[in-house]
Amino acid sequence: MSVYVLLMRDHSEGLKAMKATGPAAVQSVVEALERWEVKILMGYRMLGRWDQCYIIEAPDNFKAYRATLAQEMSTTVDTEILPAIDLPLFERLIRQSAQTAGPHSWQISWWARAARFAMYPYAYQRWAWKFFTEHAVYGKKKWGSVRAPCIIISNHQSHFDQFCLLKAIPPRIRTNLFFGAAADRWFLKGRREITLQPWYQSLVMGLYPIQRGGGSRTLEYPKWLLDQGANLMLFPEGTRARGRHLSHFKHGVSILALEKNVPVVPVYLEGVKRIRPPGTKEAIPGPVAAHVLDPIRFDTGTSVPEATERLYTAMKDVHGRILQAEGGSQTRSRSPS
Amino acid sequence: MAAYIMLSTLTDEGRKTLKERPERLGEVNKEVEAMGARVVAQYAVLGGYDFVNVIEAPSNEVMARLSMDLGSRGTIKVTTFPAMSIERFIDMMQPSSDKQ
Repeated sequence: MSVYVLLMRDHSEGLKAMKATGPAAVQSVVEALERWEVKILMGYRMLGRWDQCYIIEAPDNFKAYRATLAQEMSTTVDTEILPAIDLPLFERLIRQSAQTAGPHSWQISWWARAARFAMYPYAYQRWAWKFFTEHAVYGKKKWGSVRAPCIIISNHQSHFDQFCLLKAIPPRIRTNLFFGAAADRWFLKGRREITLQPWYQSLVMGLYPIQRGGGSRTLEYPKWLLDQGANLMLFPEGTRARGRHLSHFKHGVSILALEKNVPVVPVYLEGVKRIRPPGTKEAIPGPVAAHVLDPIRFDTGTSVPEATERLYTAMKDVHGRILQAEGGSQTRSRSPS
Repeated sequence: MAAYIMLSTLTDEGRKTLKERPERLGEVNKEVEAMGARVVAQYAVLGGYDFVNVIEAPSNEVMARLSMDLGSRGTIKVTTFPAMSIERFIDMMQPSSDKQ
């Protein structure tokens, strides 16, 4: 949820209504805001140029704007909405540089792999222990036919996806597996915490930076990783899904798989969104499941859109069955794979 | 303590200072408290203002001194509005017969 400051100035019509109906007019403003998914954190009546000031929480800019528009259309107030950032975060943002670091090619060396193997319980497993009350893996046997290098793809629901996913991947693939991560979020220079340092992300978490909007240049490093025999983990939706749908896949995975002739292993993750949905900071423990699907290898001559469509269809099929099962029984689905 | 909404805008000098020393944000809060007021909520905002502060102060005089002091540094321009909580305003709007 994002915070906004909403300033309001009463029209003469609004003042008339307030005189006629008393406090009901003010209460109706509050109720109208709440009807539009807005939560009021604080509210003040002011003397001066503005008449009211509300500190509100709304899911996003659009919903905040929709709520204020509804106020304006009621013809009783003029509004000005200011997206707000709490001050400690603002201070951190000022300190940060927009410069990013990486990729670090040393992350595939034997010592980096050994460090990652040793740090795995601290970096990943402890979160899985803490927040996954149950972790089911369906289709484990399918890993038997998978040899490095390969590309693993998954639906993207939460920052906890990789914790769920790594637990479903055998160690021989996991210790040589690299995730693409947004450079402007995970590889910023100038942060204080050790766990947010770009070198830590490369060494311990196995991430490499992806420049948003970087075009085909963003595929150079993953291609190099595949050439070195490393495995890749990618979320072809590009970003975390906000609704229950599976977003369209971007073509990056298909381009890599076709050019380097490597298999793609789709893994569908279930239940992770309930633990920590996008836009929230608190995590709620719950059950999760990973469905390992049949590895996909593309024939020579397959086009990029065809390959993307095939990957999407494979995931969409499981996604649809799981949604159907959830809708039918409200209990966790069993393996549809 | 009365409530006040302070809308502030950074001057060019203020932007430079903040970029060089972001910790000034926290220091200003301590200075506000030293003057007898209290910062209840504080946000950096996008739009016509740079910061919105909800401040509690014992009187208009304290708040006037605070506004003058902050403005005199040349780093921000402030506009301060006396305010009351919406609950208190609703209560105030009730006809006196309802309150009894």
